[in-house]
Amino acid sequence: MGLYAEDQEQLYHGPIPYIILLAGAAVAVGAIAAVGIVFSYIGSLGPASFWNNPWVRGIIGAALWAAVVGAGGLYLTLLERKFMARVQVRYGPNRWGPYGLLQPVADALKLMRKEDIIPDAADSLVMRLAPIVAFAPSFMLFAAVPWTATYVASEMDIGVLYIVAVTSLTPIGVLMAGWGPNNKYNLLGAMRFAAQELAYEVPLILAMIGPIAVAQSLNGVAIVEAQAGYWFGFIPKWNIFPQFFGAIIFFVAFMAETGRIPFDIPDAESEVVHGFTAEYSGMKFVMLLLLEYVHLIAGAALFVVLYMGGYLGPSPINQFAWFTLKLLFVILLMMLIRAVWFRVRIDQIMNLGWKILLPAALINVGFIGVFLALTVQ
Amino acid sequence: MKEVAADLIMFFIIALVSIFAAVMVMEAEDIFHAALFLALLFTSIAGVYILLTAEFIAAIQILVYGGAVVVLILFAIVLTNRAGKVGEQSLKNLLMRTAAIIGFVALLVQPILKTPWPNEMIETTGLNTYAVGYSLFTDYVIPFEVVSLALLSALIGAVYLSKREVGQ
Amino acid sequence: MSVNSEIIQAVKDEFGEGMVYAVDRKERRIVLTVKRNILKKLCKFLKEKLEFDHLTSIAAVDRSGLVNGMIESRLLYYDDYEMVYHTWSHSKKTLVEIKVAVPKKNPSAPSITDVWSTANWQEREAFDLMGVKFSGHPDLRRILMPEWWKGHPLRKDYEMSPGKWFLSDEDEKEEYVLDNQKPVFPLDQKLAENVKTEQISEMILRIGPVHPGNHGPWLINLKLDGEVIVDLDTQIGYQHRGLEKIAENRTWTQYLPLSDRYCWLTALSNNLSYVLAVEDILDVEAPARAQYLRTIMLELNRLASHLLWLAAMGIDLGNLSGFFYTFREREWMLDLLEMAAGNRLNYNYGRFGGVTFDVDDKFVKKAKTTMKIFRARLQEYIDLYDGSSIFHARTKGVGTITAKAAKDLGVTGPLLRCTGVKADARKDDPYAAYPELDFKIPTRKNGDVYASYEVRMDEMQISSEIIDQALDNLPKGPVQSNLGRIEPVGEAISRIEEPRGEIATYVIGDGNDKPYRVRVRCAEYINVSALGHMSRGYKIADLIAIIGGIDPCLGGMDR
Repeated sequence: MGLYAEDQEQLYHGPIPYIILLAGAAVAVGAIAAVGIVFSYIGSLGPASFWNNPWVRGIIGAALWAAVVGAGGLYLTLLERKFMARVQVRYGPNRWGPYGLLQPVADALKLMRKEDIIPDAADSLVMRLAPIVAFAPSFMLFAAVPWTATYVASEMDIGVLYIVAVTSLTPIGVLMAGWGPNNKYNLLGAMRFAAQELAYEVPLILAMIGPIAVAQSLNGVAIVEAQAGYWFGFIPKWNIFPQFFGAIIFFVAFMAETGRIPFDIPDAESEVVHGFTAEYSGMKFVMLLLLEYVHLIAGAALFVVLYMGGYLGPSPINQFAWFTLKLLFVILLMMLIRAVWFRVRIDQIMNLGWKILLPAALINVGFIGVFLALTVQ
Repeated sequence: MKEVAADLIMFFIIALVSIFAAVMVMEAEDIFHAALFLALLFTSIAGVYILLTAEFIAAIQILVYGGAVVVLILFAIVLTNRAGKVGEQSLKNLLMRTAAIIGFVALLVQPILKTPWPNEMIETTGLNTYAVGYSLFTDYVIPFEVVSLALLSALIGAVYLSKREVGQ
Repeated sequence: MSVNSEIIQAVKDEFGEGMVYAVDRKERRIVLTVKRNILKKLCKFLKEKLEFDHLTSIAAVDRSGLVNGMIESRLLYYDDYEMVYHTWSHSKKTLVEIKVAVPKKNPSAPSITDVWSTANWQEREAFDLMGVKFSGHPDLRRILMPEWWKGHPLRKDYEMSPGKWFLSDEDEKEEYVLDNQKPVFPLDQKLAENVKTEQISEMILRIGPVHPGNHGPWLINLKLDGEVIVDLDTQIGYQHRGLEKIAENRTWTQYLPLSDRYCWLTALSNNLSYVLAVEDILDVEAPARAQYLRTIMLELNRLASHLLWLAAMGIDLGNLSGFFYTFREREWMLDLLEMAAGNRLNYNYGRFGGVTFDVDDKFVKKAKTTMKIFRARLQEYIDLYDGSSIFHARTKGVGTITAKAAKDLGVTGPLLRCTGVKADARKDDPYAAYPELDFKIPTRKNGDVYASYEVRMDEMQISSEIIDQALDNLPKGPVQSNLGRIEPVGEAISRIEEPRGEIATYVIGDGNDKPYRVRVRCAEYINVSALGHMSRGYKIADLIAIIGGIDPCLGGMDR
C-alpha cells in the first residue's frame, strides 16, 4: 500500500476511485428508492385490500422489521469494521465474500455453534433470560419510528413517550446479565453500565422536549411534519438548526445510553474484561453484542426523526430513501467518533452526565420556552 | 362485538399474568427473582391502562415503576449481596396466609357488588395526553409544584447522606 | 579526578581506615570494600552527606569459582558470597561501588531498604537467586522464582541436571500449587500520602496474569475501596528465563544474541550494554564509524520503542486508531534496522570492538527521507493525542510522583525526567558517539502520566534530529576491530540509556572463555516496583493509564 517513506510520491492520485464511489452510492440510493416505491404502492392499494388488512400488515410488518433490524444490526458490524479500518489505513475484513460481505454470516454461524457454557454457581434462569430482556427494548423502539409518512409500524399518539418508556427497561436486563453468572467482573460491569444509563436518561428526555414543543405533539409523524418547509427558501426547517444545543445534548446522551466509545468503560476490553458480557458464550453472547448495534440504529433513527427532519426532502428521491440516507449519515458519524476518540473514565462519565449535561438540558428547555413564546404567537 | 371479545380476552390474559406475578413476588425463593416478578407485575398493570385507553399513564407507569423503581430495588439487592433463599415457608404459614387472603376478599365482595359500575365505555376523544398536561398546569399546578419540591428535597437528602469524606 | 579524591577523602574522614579504597582504571568509579557492620552507616553517609541519591544495582556474586581471585584486599576471602552495590550521584556524576563479603556458612547482610527504597526488590532478588538473607528487610520472599522452589539458582554449586527441574520426592510434589502466592500488601506508611479513605468496604481484585490491559503476564492484586485503590501487590516472574545464569554457561560471543533478548523492544541497548562492559574490561575502543553506527541504531531503536509505547497507550485508553497509525511509522524504523542489521527485532548488532555490518549510501538516503516524513507525522500524533480533552482528563494529575520519591525508588528514564530531574546516561556517562553530538534532554515538572507522555514525544523529536546529525557526520573507516578469541580478566559496569530507563550491566570475567557473572539491572524491573507508590489513591481505570505511563516491557522485568 505504498507504506515506504520514499514510495509516497508514487501513490495514485487520480479521479477514478471517486467516480466508482459515487456510482456505487447512486446504485445504493436507487435500490433503496425502489424499495420505497414498493411500499408506497402497497399503501396506495386502499384499506380494503388484503395487504392492508391490519392483522396481515401487523404480522408481515413485524416479521419484516425483525429481519431488517436483525440483519441490519448484523451488517452494521461489517460496516463498522470496514469503516473503522479505512480510518486506520487498512482494509477491513475482505476474505469472506466480495468485499467481506459474507463476514457477518460467517461470524454468526461461528458464534451460534459455540458451546453454551453456563457456570455451575450461576443462576441459570436469570442468565438465560438476561439477553432477551436486555435486547427486546431496542427492538420495540422501532415500532414508533416513522420511515415514511404512512409507513409507521404503529402510529401512536404517545410515540416518543413510548420510546422513552421502553428504553428505560434496558437497565433491568443489564442488571440481570450482571447478576446471573455470579461473577465479580460481570457484576462490576453491569452496575457501572446501569448507573451510566440511568444517569443519561434524564438529559435524553429533556433534550427531546424541544422537538415535541415545536410540533405540539408526541406523535412521530407529527414531529416530522412540523419540520416541513424552508426558511429563506433553501435552509430546511429541521430542528437541528435552531436547537443546536439540544441536538448535541441528545446525541451525547444517546451515545452514552448505548455504551459506545467515548462512553465505553462498561464494555471495555482492556479494563474489566468485556464487562457484563464476560461469562456469556454462544448465541447469548451474540445477542448481547448485537444489542449495541441495534441500539445504535435506534438512536440514529430517533435523532433523524427528532432533529433532522425524518423522511422529508426534495421530491425526486422518495421519502424512504431520504430517511435511509440521513440514518446512514448519523451512523457513520457515530462510527467515526468511535474510531478516533479516547475512553472517558467512569467517574468522569458520571460527572459529565449529572453535573454538566443535566443543567445544560434544563437550560435548553428554558431557551426553548422563550423561543416558542417569541415565535409561535 | 368482535372488538369487545378481543378486549376481554386481552384483559383476562393480562389479569392472569398480573396475579401470577404478584403471587410469585411473594413466593419466589430468591430475592432477585422476586424483584424481577415485580417488574413483570408493573408492566402488566401498564397493559391494563392501555386497555382503558389511558396510554399516557401506561407509558408513565412503565417509565417510573419499571424503569426506575425496579432498577432501584435491583441495585439495592445487588449492592448488598443478598443472595440466596429467603427462608422456608411452613404449612401452617401457608394456611394462615391463604385464610387471610380469603378473609380480605370476602370483606371486599359486598362493596364491589353494591357499587354502581358504569356499563359502557366512556368515549374519549383520544387527546388524553393533552388533557392530562393541561389539567396539571392549570387546575393542579400547586400540588404539582409541591410534589416536585418534595422530590427535590429527597434527592438532595440522598446525595448528602451518601457522600463520603474523600481527601483527594 | 578531583571529584573522586574529594569523595574518598570525605569517606576516609568519616570512617577512618576500616575499608579499602580503589579507583578504577578509567576514573569512572570508586570501589570501596567494607565489612558488613558498617555497610548501613556508610550507605546513610553517602546518601545524606555526599548526595548519592540513586542506588543503581545490587549484585550478588558467588566467589567460590573464581580462578584468578581478583582479591583486592584482605577483607574478602575465597568461598565468600560478595554483595556489590552500585550507587550513583546525580549531582556529582560519579559511581561508587561498595563490596561487602558475606560468609557462605551463614549468608546474611544488613538490609539497606530504609536508606534507598529501591533496594526492596533488588534484595528480594538477591535472596531469591543467591540465598543471601537480609536482616531488617520488610518483606523478604521470593520474587522471580515460584514460592515453592527449593534452592538458589545462581549459586555455583546449584545442581542443574536436565529433567530434574524441580522437586524429586513424591510427597514433595504435593506442594506444587497452581494458585499464585497470597498477596502481601506493603502499604509503607511514609510514602502513602494521598490515601485518606476510611476503608469502609474492601475488595481484592486480581488483574492478570493474562489480561488485555497488561503488557505481558504479571499479576497485580489490588485492594480496593469502591473504585479507589488502597494498596497494590505485584507478582512478577512469569517470564523469568534465567538469562543471568545462562551467561555462565555460554562463551562470551555465544551470549551476544541472548543479551538482545532481555527486553526485545530495546534489544540494541541491552546488547550494547553487555558489549560496552566487556570492552571496558578489555580496554578496547571501537573505531569511529562503528561508534556513529551504534548511535544511529540506538536512536532508531528508541524511536521504534517509543512508537510502540504510543500505540499501547492509545489502545489502553480507548483510542483504537492511534495504534495503527503509530505502527505504520514503526514499520519504517524496523525496515531501516533490517537494512543495517538483518533482523527486525533482535538485532545482535554489537560486537566486541565494533558492529556487525556496515551500511551503504542507500541506507543513508532512505534514513534521511524517513526522518523528514517522520517529523511531519509526529506533529500529527501530537495533534491527535494532545488535541483530545478526554486524553488530558485521563492523564493529567494521574499517577503523580515527586522527584524525591522517584529518586528514592530508583526510577530512571522518562519517568524520572518527567519529575524534573535532568538525568540521562547519554549526557552524564557518555558512550558511543554521544559526546560529539549536540542534543538536549527534555524534562517536565509535574510528574504525572501527561508529563511522561510529553517527555517521550520530545525525545522522539530529539532522536530524529540526532539521527540526522550522525548521518551527516558519519566518518569513514572500518566497523570492526578483529579481536579474535577474547579471555577478559577483570570487572566493569556499563550504563546505557535505553528507551525505558537506565540499564546497567556488571560483568566479571575470569580469564575463561565464559563470563563468570553477568548482572543486568534493567530499567523496567525498578520502574514497576514503583507502581504501588504511584497508584495508591487513584482509581482502577487510572491504573491502566499509569501502567501505560511506566511503559513496562515484561522481558526486561523478569529477564
